[in-house]
Amino acid sequence: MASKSDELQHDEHLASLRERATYVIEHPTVLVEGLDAWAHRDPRRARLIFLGSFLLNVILALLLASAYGVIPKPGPITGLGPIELPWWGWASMLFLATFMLGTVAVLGGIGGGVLFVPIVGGFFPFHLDFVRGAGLLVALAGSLAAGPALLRAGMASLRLAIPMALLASLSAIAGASVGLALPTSIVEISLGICILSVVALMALSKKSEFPSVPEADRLSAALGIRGVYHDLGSGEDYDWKVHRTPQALVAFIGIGFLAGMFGLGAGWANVPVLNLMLGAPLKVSVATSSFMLSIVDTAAAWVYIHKGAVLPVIVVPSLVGMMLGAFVGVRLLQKVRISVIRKVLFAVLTIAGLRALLKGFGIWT
Amino acid sequence: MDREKRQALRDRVARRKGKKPNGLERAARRYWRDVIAGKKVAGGDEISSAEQRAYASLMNVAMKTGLIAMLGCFLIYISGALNPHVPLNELPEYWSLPVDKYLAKTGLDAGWGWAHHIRKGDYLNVLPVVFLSSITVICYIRILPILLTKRERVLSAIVVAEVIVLGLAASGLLAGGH
Repeated sequence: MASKSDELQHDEHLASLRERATYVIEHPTVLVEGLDAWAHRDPRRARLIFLGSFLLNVILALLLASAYGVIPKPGPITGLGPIELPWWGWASMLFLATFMLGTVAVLGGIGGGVLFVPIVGGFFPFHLDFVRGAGLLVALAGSLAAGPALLRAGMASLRLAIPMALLASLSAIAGASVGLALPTSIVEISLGICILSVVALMALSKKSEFPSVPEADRLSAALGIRGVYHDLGSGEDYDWKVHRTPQALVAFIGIGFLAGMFGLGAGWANVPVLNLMLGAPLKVSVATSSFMLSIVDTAAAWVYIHKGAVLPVIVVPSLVGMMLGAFVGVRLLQKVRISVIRKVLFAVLTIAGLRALLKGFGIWT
Repeated sequence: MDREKRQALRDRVARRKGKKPNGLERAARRYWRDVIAGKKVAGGDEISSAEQRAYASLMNVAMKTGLIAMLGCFLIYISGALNPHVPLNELPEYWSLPVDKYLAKTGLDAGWGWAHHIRKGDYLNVLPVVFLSSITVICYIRILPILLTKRERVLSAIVVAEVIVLGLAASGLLAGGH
């Protein structure tokens, strides 16, 4: 039973909230001044949020207007009409496209998986079911290729990956099953929203090279999630431990579901959770995320294999193109301006996300 | 690591910046190159544990085998050495269909139905895909005895659970669909 002093405090709190709300309504410039001060403190973030929300509002307005017949439906915006190519023509174009994707993915620090599905699904004639199956296998192969070196160097941590991957792989199976059961248009719309969210997350998320973890929580201590990481740049060894393990496990359930449903590699979500939520060093987070994909994507890949959504003429050229592209990208890392590549990548991902969204609504088929 | 130590480390790195690496730094770089290549062990058990090294070695061999097998089977497929179930020149008619309609039009079964067509050029390629998807399970089984020897009961239980989950996924019992 709440005491009188608790009730009094609660009432005072409500009263102060009411006062603040009344003041803002009567003096709307206060809101504007507050936003202005925030924008000056963090102009880059403010610009991104403003542009993003403006663009989203324009698109939503156009969609609503077209749905209600205020503006005529643009119809299939194919322009040139369908391109007729033999099977080897499409396979060759797929190889070239994934080669470029693999190169820029390494340069831009973005996983190839998150680029593959929206771009190949949006601009090639393959159905999204086959593209998602191929996307998972491409991400899986990349993770299997990078995993051994990362594990041997101690940058990827098995103790960190195994508990997280268990829940993520279960939810990836569920996501893959749900994704294959939903109508294609809904998957396209969801994919578009997911990709646009990924772009926003990548642009706005912070990174912390050595997060401060005052004390390991009980769950991570029980699971033995800790390690020593050797930084090649400084030559020093760092002990690391993690916290907020239960929250991270819940986050990985969601990440696994999305990865399975859309056939995306989950690196874009794994790294922020490992680095910012758990508090693992940035390089350990990136390396462990890359290794974890081999476990999570394996689980989802089985669902696609059993549904028959694996076409070798799509999988093999994509896989080879992506791996060769990554090989070239690593060689170009020191010679290219990374910031420019990242901006181009964000633009490409934004277009691919919008394409998936509009394709799902039947506007840009 | 606390802030003062980090700052001292940064100062040390900054003082060495622009200078040629000394003998110790060159030796350290050679050492870590060998560690990544698998020729040496990183700091004993502290930085890379025995189960991690065992996992990495098996994963490395299995991954290379799977990729070579995948390339080989694909070459067999496109060369026509084995007749495919769906002819290559007819594939563009089907690859834009949802997977359930694709299976219906091509007369294929979901699940392990592809195994009946293993002598066909296109379904031969599913074998290396299945192998690549099994690498994780094989590596988990490899590290289980090491974890049990170390009496890592909790981690061993998680590894067993993961093997069961992946096994169920591989069996096709957990696959949903249209």
